[in-house]
Amino acid sequence: MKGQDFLFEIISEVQDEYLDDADKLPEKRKHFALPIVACLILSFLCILIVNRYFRNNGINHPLSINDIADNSSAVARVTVVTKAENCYYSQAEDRTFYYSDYQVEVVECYNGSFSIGQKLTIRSDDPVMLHGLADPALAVGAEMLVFLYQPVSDNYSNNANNIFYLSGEAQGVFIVSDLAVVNYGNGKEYALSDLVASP
Amino acid sequence: MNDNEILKLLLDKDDTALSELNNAYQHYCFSIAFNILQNYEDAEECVSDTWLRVWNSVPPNHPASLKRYSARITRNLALNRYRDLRTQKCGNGILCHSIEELSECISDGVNIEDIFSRDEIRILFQQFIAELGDTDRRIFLRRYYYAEEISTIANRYGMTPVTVRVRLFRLRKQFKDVLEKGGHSV
Repeated sequence: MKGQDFLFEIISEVQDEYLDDADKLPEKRKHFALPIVACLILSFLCILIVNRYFRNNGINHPLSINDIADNSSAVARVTVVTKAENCYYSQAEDRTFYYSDYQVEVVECYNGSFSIGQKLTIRSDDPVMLHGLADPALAVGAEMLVFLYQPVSDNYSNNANNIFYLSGEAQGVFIVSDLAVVNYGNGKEYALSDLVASP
Repeated sequence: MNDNEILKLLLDKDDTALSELNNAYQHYCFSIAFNILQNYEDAEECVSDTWLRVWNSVPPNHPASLKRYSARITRNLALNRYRDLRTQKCGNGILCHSIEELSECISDGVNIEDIFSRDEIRILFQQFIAELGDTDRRIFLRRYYYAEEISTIANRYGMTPVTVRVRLFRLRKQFKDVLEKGGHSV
């Protein structure tokens, strides 16, 4: 018999307890694999949450258009076609109403049924809104995200079909930049990806 | 059916014991035989012979674990078959690497059976295996008891094949040292 065969045969006589031990799956896998995977998943979730927190200026949840649209019936990204025109009319001598009309063109529609390129008139009679819309930053060609009511029965004008009122959180006008959407009224910044990702 | 129930059938010479043995340990014994012989038919034959050997040897033997008892018989039958194939050179180049590696534990030209009695070797081996760390002992047995492939062992213990190979090399050297310290130059 060759020496190696002899040794191989002798190894047959190893005690059962050692064979039982060798048959077991490694303890390391059984005891540590699950906690390690759980820790990795938890760490990943923490990073995601922290990242979201800072991206949304401390608002600790992802924002979507629906979050800030309130009761808006339409949400659209538009470009300014003509600058705001401040108008007023008087119902009586002592009651003068001011409003501001903006001509815009639809770039993208997230909610509602506007078509791209459609021209809209946005009207605001909110003093804060008037200030916002009159801001030089909103020059012709500027992009903004608007939250609109449906055309209302209009007291001020006869062409009610394409006049919309602003709605949504704060003043409902958001300037669109490359990376973010800034609420013009309160200065809050939202990640564009968060906003456009909403259904 | 558990070990005790099968053992009772064997002791009662009830031939359903053979099918129960086959159901319980066929895969286990087949993998041992196949690792050594690398041939499906030969391994199957070893397993069938194993049940016959168990049938003939229980009683008078009364093994504590039928699993281990069957495994030892399978292993020895496979080793005998391996020797025959190697001698006849009809094994299509069959070479059980784990057995051949053990030749490193013995110097060239030394006939270990002339130096040691079986009992002496058994005692030295038990001493060697008892002194090993848990992981080394497991790796050693997976390779030289079960004749498993290095890649299979590496996968089982989450190591690289190179690491396993290196550890086995050291373990063989260690085994050789134990044999030499046993009072004989091997």
